[in-house]
Amino acid sequence: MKSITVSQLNRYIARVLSTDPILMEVAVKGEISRITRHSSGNWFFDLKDSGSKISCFLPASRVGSLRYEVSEGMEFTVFGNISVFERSGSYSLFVTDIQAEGEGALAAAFEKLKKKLDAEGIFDPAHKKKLPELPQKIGVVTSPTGAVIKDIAQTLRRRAPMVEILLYPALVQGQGSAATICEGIKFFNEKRPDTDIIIIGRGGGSLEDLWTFNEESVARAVYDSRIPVISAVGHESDYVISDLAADVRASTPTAAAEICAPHIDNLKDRVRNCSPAAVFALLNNRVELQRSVLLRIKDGLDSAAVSKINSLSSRLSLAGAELKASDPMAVLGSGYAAVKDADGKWRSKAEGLSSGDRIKLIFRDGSADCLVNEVTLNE
Amino acid sequence: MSKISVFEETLQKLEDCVKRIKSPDCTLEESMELYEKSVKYYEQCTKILDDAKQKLEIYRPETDTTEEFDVI
Repeated sequence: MKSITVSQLNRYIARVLSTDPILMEVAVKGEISRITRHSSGNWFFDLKDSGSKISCFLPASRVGSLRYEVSEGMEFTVFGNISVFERSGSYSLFVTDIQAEGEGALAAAFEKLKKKLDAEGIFDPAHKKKLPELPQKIGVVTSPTGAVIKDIAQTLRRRAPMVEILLYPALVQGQGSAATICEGIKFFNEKRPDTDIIIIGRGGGSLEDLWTFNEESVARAVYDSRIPVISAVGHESDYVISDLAADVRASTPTAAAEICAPHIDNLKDRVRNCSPAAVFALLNNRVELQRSVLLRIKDGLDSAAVSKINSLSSRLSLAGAELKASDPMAVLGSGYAAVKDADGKWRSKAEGLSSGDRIKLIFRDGSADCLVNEVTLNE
Repeated sequence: MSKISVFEETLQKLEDCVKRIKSPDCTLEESMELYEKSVKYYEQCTKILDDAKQKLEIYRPETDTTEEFDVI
């Protein structure tokens, strides 16, 4: 037998393995262990079962398109082909995709991602934006052929026909769908910044069907959106990661449409409350009010006048009584008389009188003309 | 300006008129003026609501254009 070199052997093995039709495309189920996330972006990990293991290599270019949160201990189905490293004489699985199979694996991946994003604050209630009261433009990111856009358009046509809807056509399940949802959210934020609300959604389906809305990239796009996002995925009982990251979760697409805009009847009621008839009634009330105010003022004036007169008359009688009490003539009754001179002036002193002057004595019942005989002044 | 913005603004003006009319320091003369204004605003609001017709469009990423879309 002719001997060959190690390199020749490894090259031969590599050629055999890489041209084997089965090994060119395999799907291997197993548990992920010993993940090394290299700084270059490439991942190295082992896929194992109870009896065996295989080294796996996931190139950085594929890491971004993984649909699941992958970590050690989780069961996945890994797709790829066998490749040989000639230098070390070893082989490994060159990974093209990793998928979760079965409800158990999906539920585990869901919990894993939920925990991770929660820790990052992606679901933080404080970050959630309020929906505008009266939106004018609504962006919908969903399939153009699905029930979602139909339900939303019909509901809004009935409830809020003044709202404009722009549909961004997206894939809502399968490989690559998350990217189109993210592009839709980005489109409205960057190219249609006057959009008031974005609704992302799809109809009901299995956990696997809904998985797009459980992908990390969608959750981050929703979180990063400057425009408020309503997540409306599946039915009432379906909860997905985008529901948690969204500003508002709607149980169905119809509910999303109902949440985002007020019913036109409410607006009509508000306008009707201000109808000319209603305003006229208000005006009428005002006139009536003014009239009653005037009447009240007039009544007030009347009673003020009456009380003024009353008070004047009582003051008058009081003054009269006082006057009476201080009447100088009142004193004349008790033996006194008053004196006036010839000019009719009251005289209260003897000084200034001379004998021969005429004076008049005033009594209570009459008067007497007198002639002064002699004037004597006190010392 | 969009119809909704015009509506929102006009409804606000209308409601402000009514609020002012209700205020006790509004004179009769002022309220007559406000009444006339409110009739005008009312008609504008009603017209916008009565004329409202849904606009539904789809974006075409391939051509970066939008076109009318019908779901029924």
